Amino acid sequence: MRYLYLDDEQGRETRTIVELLESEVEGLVIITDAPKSFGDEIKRLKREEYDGLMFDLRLDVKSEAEYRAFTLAQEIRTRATEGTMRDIPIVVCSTDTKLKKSYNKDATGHDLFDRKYLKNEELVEKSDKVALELMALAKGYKEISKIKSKARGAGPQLKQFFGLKDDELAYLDIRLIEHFGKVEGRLPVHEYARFILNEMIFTSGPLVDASILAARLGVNKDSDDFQKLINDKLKSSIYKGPFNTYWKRWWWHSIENWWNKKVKENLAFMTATERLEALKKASKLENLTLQEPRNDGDSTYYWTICEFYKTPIDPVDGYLVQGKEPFAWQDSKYLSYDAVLSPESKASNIFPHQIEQERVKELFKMNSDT
Amino acid sequence: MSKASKKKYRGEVSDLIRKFGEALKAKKVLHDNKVFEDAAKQCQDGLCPVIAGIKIDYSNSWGYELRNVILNIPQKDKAKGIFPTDATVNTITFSAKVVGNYLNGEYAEDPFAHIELNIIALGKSKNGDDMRACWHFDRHLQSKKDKNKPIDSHPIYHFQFAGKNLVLPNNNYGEHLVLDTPRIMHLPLDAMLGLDFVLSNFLGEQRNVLSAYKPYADCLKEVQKHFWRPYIHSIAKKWDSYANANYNWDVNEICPQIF
Repeated sequence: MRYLYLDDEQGRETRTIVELLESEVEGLVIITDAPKSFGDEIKRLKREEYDGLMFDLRLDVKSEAEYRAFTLAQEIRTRATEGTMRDIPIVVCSTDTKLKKSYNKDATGHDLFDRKYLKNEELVEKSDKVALELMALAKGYKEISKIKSKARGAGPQLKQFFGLKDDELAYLDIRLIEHFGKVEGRLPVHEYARFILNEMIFTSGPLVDASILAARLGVNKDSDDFQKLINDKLKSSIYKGPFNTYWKRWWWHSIENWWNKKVKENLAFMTATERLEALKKASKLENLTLQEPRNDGDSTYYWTICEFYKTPIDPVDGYLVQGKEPFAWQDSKYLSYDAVLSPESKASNIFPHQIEQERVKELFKMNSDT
Repeated sequence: MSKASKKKYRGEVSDLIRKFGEALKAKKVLHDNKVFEDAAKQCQDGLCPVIAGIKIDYSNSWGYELRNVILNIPQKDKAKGIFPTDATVNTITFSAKVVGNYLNGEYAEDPFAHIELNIIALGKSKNGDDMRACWHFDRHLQSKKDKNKPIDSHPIYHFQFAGKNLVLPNNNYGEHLVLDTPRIMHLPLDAMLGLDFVLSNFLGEQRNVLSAYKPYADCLKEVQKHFWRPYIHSIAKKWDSYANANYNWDVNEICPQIF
């Protein structure tokens, strides 16, 4: 996969990032250059073929570019929608201070980018993860594009990207299936990509990640047989749609069906200990261990994970997280009480929801008392 | 009942569950209504909960499970009459398993095959220790031939304090005296009626707001008509014709929950 990385800084730092990323995964090629003037840059992007783009947030400081990443990305998205340019993933990167100064304050441009990365903390420190993400993004866009071009008539429908058979689709919420309307027309690739990534992969609901899956099954993610459980025993529930090469997800309805067939009791009504016991019998795997609660005395009717610590919690012990109002078919996000108290969660931009204000106040009061 | 009619029946119940959850969220009594969405979906898809140890004709049943509905109690209007008096009640959780029969006609028999509601009040003692109280509502049908028939009164729909949920680890009961409490006869409650019962008793102010909110009232009106009318009329039938009698007793005085 070939990415073009535009950065006005063409010094050692940029070269290090490129070398690091390329070394992490086979098949990733990153060509880096300084941005040209707007017209020339558009000409270049139309002429040369890439599978993805990576922009520095400020393109205009040390180059002839008179624009920033937002402007260029907007132009590419518009042209892609009109069909005069290829629709490929666009990611943005910058330093923490620059992101805080402009990107984080203005949400209008967020939709333009598939991911944002911090230069030091992510591109360098977590280059292995970022490289895999870049590969998965490019591959996912290609898959969407392929399915789209195969669809005839009015164009594809959202459900065609899910990789599910018709009888499985019947388990999904009709409001998800018809999110783009009954007749969608020909939406650009990035619309589908953005929806699948943000609303289905990064927010749990119809799809869950391994951490939430483990929480709901009452099992410790680090136990010996856990990978065997989720990749082998629960293989048929694995999400096979776009972006699945890096972001592993499982269809919750399918897990539930498997459970109900084997256990015959709703797992939501069982404690972690009861779930684990049933799970061992159902999966015939012995080396699965119990997921202990994060704090003594917490409920083990786990349903989700704490957004900050990523450990299982029962929403009853949690505090709703501030953020976009979820769709009816999405799960809400929660923080555990010690995460609410921790200054680090605030530093990570995760706050309890406004409506939890009174409970949060009580929590702080109680903790200052003791 | 035909397959199509069954589907329609389940669709109507799911719509009510969904609307009920939306109404609670709209009036901010509940913050996360996904549990209602999931229950509605389960009911709609015909994935009737399987209840161990109880004989149910699943081919003629619909149902759903409502996992933890979380009601946070605003401390300004906290429940009165809490003992110890320095303890607080912070959260009430409510969960339900409901299995019903497909009914032809409005005066068919018992509309439910299984009901199990759990109400758990969670609080803190003065020292910050966890405290809890539980109530349990269920449907219990006894076979006349049942040899193990308990001597205690067991009305088909009844409330009971405590139940298995009061079992605490390490025998941590303090000086609490826990014994079998009487099963108090009550009108049948499904998840929506049950939750309305909890709100009427613990969150009076919010319940007043809700009862003035049309979508909420409409849901309950429909559910009450469906489940309470046959129950009340079946009792009333015991005595002679009552159609033309002159009634002056206000129904809301007898049962404040009736819409």
